[in-house]
Amino acid sequence: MKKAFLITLASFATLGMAATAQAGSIENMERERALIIGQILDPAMSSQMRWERMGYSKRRMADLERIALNDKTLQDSRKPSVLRAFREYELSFLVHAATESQRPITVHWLETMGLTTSDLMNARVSK
Amino acid sequence: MSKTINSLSLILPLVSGIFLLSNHTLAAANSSVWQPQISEKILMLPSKHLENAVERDFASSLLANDMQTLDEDIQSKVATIGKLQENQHLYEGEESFEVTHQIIAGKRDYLEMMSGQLDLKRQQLETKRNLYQRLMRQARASSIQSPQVEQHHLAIDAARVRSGAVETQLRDELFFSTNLEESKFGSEYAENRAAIEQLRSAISDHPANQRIVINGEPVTKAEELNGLMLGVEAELALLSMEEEVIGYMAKLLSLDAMAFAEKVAEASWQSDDGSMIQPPASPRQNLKMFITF
Repeated sequence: MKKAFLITLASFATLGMAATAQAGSIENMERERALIIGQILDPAMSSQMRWERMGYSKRRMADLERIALNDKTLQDSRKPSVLRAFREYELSFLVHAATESQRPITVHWLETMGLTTSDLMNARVSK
Repeated sequence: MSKTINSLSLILPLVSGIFLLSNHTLAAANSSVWQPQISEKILMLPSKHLENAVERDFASSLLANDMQTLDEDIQSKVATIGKLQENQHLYEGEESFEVTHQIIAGKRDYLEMMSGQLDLKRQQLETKRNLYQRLMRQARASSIQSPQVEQHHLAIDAARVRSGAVETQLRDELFFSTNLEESKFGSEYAENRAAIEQLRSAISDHPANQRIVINGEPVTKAEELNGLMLGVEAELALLSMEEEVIGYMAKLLSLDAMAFAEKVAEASWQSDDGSMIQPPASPRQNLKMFITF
């Protein structure tokens, strides 16, 4: 009896989690974007490894951006993440925006955030 | 005398019926209904096709069936009256009166049927007007957007345009810079996108999809529906004039019936044994009866 009750409770909990765990196209894109930015900012990664991983991430990100751009359900969405994603095209649709500006993703993202090459060159670590 | 009573008993109901007809409209048959079975998706159609769809929906209704039947009856009655009028000069005496009576009765029946037909037509036009009003409200409701929603839609459209402009360049860049095979989604996405663009272009160039333009501005769906509704209002105004015509016809027919009734009565009085009513006797004529005692 107790076992049956626990199994039933676990089933309901799983269904509830499944219902809340659905991610939209924008959320998937944002997750991949976070991975790309993590790769950009990872100090421990070598240039070779960064280049290889960025290649895979770029292709995945391009597909996810295409999915989000063609998602008709976003037209009626009022979620803040969706509204912000389309308002800030340069930072959300990284791959497409970087291709449009004819710059690598890393340079495009850093310069959009306001970090130019000269700023970085002039920066110094101080204690 | 009995003949006079018989003729009057036939004519008086005829005259009173026509008189009532001239002052009152008859109620339409309650069984005739038209409940449009049209969904909101019809708003996607151009106005000409929308109008045709509404007409087709009406044609399959009970109301249209009843109007068709009544119209056939009216045509038949007109043909009968026409034949009687054509041959009226061939009859004399009692037969002539009978033919005239049938003509008047036929005209009365025609006016009754025509009045019923106009009531059905009014029902049709009012239903059509209400339908257009409902569709117009729906069209207006769907076009109303808050500024935030409008900005969001504009942002999505702008994002799609920007991404579409670099799609080819992106595909080349992904291929050459990463040395990786294009993903299955990527290649099928490109093919579907090309197909969608071709279809969109074909739809916008399609002759049936040409939107009405006034002063360079395309007419909105609500404005198109408003135009259709004004057309229906004009038809209703004409219908009111037709009802007025029917009223005058009825009044004229009632005068014809009264004149006919007088003619028949006069003929009945004259045919009563050929004798006229004698004036009452004067006392002077019987004076001798009293003088001679």
